[in-house]
Amino acid sequence: MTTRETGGAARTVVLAALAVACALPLAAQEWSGSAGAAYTWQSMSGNEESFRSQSNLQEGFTLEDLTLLRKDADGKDRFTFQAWGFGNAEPSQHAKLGLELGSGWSVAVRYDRRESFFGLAGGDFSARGDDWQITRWNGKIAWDGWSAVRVTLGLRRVERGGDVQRTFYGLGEQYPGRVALDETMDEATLRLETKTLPVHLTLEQSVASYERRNLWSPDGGTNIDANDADLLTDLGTTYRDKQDVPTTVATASYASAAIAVSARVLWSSADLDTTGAGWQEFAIGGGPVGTVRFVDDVVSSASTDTLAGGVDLAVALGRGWRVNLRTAYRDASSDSALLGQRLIHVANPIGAALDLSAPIDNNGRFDFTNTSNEATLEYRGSGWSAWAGGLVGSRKVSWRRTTDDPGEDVNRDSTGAVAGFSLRLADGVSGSLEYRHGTFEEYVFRTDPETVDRVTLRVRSQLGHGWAVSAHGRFERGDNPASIASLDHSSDAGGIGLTWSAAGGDASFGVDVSVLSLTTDTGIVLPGGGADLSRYDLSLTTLTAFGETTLGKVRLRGSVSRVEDSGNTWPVSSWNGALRAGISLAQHTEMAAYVQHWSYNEDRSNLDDFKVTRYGVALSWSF
Amino acid sequence: MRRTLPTLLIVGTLAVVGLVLTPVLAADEPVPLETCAQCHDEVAAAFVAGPHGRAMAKVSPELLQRACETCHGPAAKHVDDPSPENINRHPSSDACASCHADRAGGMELTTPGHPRNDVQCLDCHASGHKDPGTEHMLRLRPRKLCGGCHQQEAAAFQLPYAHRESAHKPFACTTCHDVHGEGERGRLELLGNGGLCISCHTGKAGPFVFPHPPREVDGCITCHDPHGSVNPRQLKRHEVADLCLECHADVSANHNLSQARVRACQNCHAAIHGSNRDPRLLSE
Repeated sequence: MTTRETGGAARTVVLAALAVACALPLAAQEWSGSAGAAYTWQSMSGNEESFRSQSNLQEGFTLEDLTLLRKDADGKDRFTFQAWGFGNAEPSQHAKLGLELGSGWSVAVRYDRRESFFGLAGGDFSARGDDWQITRWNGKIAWDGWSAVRVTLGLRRVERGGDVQRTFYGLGEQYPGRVALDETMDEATLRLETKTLPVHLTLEQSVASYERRNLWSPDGGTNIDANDADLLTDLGTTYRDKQDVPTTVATASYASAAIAVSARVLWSSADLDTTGAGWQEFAIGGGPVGTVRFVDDVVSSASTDTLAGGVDLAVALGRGWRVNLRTAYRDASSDSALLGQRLIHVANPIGAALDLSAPIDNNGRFDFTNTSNEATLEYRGSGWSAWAGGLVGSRKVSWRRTTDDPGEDVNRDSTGAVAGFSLRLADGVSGSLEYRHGTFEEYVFRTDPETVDRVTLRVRSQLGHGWAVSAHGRFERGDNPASIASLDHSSDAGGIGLTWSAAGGDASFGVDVSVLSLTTDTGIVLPGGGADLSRYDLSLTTLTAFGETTLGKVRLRGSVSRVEDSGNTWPVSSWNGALRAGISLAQHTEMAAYVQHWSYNEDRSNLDDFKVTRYGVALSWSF
Repeated sequence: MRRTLPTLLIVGTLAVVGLVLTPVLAADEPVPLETCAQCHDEVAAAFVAGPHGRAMAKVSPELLQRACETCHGPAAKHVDDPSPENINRHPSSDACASCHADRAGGMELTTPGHPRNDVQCLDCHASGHKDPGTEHMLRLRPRKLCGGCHQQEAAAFQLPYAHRESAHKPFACTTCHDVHGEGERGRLELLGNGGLCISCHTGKAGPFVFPHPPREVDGCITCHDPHGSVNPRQLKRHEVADLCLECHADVSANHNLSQARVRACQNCHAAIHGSNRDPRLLSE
């Protein structure tokens, strides 16, 4: 368990915001805002790391809200600042700052930091652990002082650091190791957007640079089953992967009562260059036999050119008839090269050594072209509409991983149809029913469904007095032939929701039940050649209820959620609920107490089960 | 002479239309917000102090003065004879589009299901008579607002592994989706292969020397449920081997699938999103 690094970042962000606020001219301005903080205690039984893998909550302090708003005398916002989450109890930190500097200039800065934790005792990920942080800065400087064009400069930086525990494969075994993350992304974007032309135009040019300098190290030396005499004694890398991705995006859109059209195009040319070496060293039989060291001393490069675009058109033909046309195109072409050598250094205990090397000179490619076109004819009557249409598409995929690889080349054409009907009655009842069908005959991947049929149904009704009810259903079937994967996919989903809102908006209640039944059978071929079936069976029921109301000076807010998967694959059930009661102590000041509960239970194992109760107090103040 | 006749017809038609419209326009003199505030004082004050009023003030004071009539239509008759019958109490989306013209067409193009089901601007957005306390003046926070119709997606955020900022704070739908067709939705389509996901998950950005083809073709959602899942890592299968074997049916004989460690494919094939050094994706 780690101690969250919160104090420094929180102080920096908050103090910077306040400094900027105070630097603004004071005349004829007014402040408003709110602040709230909470402290949470936590008691739990079961696997705490499993709980953290799902929510990453802990005990401690949280900034629930910090909002500052500064307005001009004429009502214009000059300064806004919002923050929440800083503290040990929450995995997230968020802050955003907005400044109106006058003469059309504005600045917006957003800061997000999230701590990710992952550590399960059971299942396929028991050898994997994550404890890392990702920090994102996002800034925008906009100039809106010209009536014709808005200009925005965007700057982004993303940093990921921390540790990943994972296994490394070597000598036919899996050995635990650690990866110290050092990843960054920097991006600058210039965006021009027209404001007064009949056709709305945008042009965006961005340049992004990604860099990964992750370092490996062994974690213990013995294989994960602790049943092999060979030890991993050294594991390391000087790898440095760098990508530069310039991207140009242009859009044009026009809308009137008769026609709406939107066109867009993207061009991107991404380059990757890698340097550095990676190595593993094993002590054979624990050392008495000697050592073997594997070194990958290679450099690689890859480039991907992407051209994508599309046009959407909606035309009102008159008398309620409309036609919608959509077309999309994407072409990505990649080439790659790997050059260097793989070395094996074998040494016995008395010092004799043998070096073997294999040169690497490999080239690969990956090309992908996708097109899709859809036309829909629609009639909109008074309180109802109906639509029907067809779609055609194509997909070309061609790749060769290595120089000697014969490669894959797949061209396929697809067709589909859609028809639907919607109804809106005067008494607030509305509904829609849509059917979609798609098919093709060539496969890129064996699990592609050759035919898909989907029916979607939605019904909504305003019952009056703030009550509303909605229901939905979706039925989907997909399959492909026995000669491919004998895929048989069925998915049935449905649900009903009931909500109520008081006229004044100070009280509301809602309950929602959703069910999802999903079964997928896929024919697989076992390593020995025998046929078998991979079946995934999910039978999920999710019940959610929430409500809030005010009783005198007490504000009550609560929610409860029940999830149960009774499918055959891996049945689980979970509860979580929260209740919060706040009382006004004085004008603009509220104290609250809250309790939260989680439980998680896997039917076939208790390794990752948990029960957690959190309770705390919060104080908030607004002005 | 042939050109003179059509010109005269056009000029004549315009003159007649102008004569017909002139008295109507004169009768509908603009009614400023201040006039409306004489009766609707609380509503007007709340509107001016709220986000819609502040946004209008930012454009121009004149625009704010025209605010009431912009949405509720000509109000001169209502001023003379205050009655709910002679004022448009429930403006349609056309009123919103009179200012937000660039937003009106986007719905038809990118989410045609909304206009087909007669989803109006005010079904999702507050009018601005008071501050709803949400971004873009949404009536509710996006997860509740969108979840009112898209219940299955809303339910997915309740699952054990989901995109959440905090335990009771799922990601806002608008983090990834833009119903008006600009911004993220457009980028999602253009970038393809998980381009939107990579804007946050920057560590998975390509290009790769050895890409994993499903990710390149269909993107992250080939293996992951973006909203939520009962499976760790928001995977579409509980057992990693099930997910992998459905495509990789021709596993070589040295993979003894009776062993749990072999069924955890990612233990060895760690660079599952793509590798720059190993065609078998054993190493990043």
